[in-house]
Amino acid sequence: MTDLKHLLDQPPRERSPAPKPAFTAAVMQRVRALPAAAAEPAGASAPAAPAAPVWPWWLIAVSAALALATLRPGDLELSLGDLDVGPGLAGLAGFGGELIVAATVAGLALLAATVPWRSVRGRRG
Amino acid sequence: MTGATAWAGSAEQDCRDVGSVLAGDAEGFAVLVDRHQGRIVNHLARLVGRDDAEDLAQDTFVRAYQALPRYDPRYPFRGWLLVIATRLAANHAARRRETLLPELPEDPGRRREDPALIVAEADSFAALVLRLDRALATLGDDARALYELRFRQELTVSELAVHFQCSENALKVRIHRLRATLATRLGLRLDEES
Repeated sequence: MTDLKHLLDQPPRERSPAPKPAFTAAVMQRVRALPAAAAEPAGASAPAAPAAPVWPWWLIAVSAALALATLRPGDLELSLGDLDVGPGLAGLAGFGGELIVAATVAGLALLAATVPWRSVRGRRG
Repeated sequence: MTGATAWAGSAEQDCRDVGSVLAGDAEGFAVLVDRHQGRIVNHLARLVGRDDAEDLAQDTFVRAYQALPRYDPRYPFRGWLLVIATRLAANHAARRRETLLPELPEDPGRRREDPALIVAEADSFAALVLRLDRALATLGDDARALYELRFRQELTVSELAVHFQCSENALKVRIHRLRATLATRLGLRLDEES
């Protein structure tokens, strides 16, 4: 026989009813409506690392290849020899202007590559 | 008890499911809602009444989802949910300023004075449960919530101490007094047992 003292320490527990799909759906609808920041990942207290810049290697390679392929020595009347540089650099004059142009194009491409395009476009998870 | 082992099994499953939600599987939270909604609704129904229990249970799960990164997996997820639910119930009661337990069948004071009724009910389990519920209804909101969490939901003292941010000894004293008060109101004499 159950006595009251026993009942005091072990009150009857109601049987958990079967889960209601409608209840779960309502909760999940509210969860989805929360701002994205609401469910931070576990390490969310630490500031997020900045997005790594996307390097358009293909752009750099294509630019350099085009510059090298289309220019011939003498196409541009420019060489280090034309510049009034010191005797040390004068030895490089024979390479011609095409290398200078190629290097400039590659440099510009590198500069463009440092722009964090992903951040500019906006992060989309 | 089989219930305890079942809870232990579901506690491990809870940990895995919480981990996957935190890893980015937000839809996986539905599994946790399915698993615990019955218990949370029942618990809230005892604290605020059946009418408001489902709404508060929804709030409980949404709050839990928002606070999930702060969940400490050393303690059962079930207890964590129950404590969130209990706090929401307390806030709800404070706002509504209503008695927490739904209406009682009869005035407990008058009924207890009637010896014939007491004798008639003596062997009935349902009557004993009713007497317990009546005694609980005379407690304050906090005391009743503590009773429900400790005795009906069987949260451990250490678990409750963490959730309520007090020492285990302080909590044991509160539980002891609560039990003594209830026993007095039920007309019981508790011996030296703790």
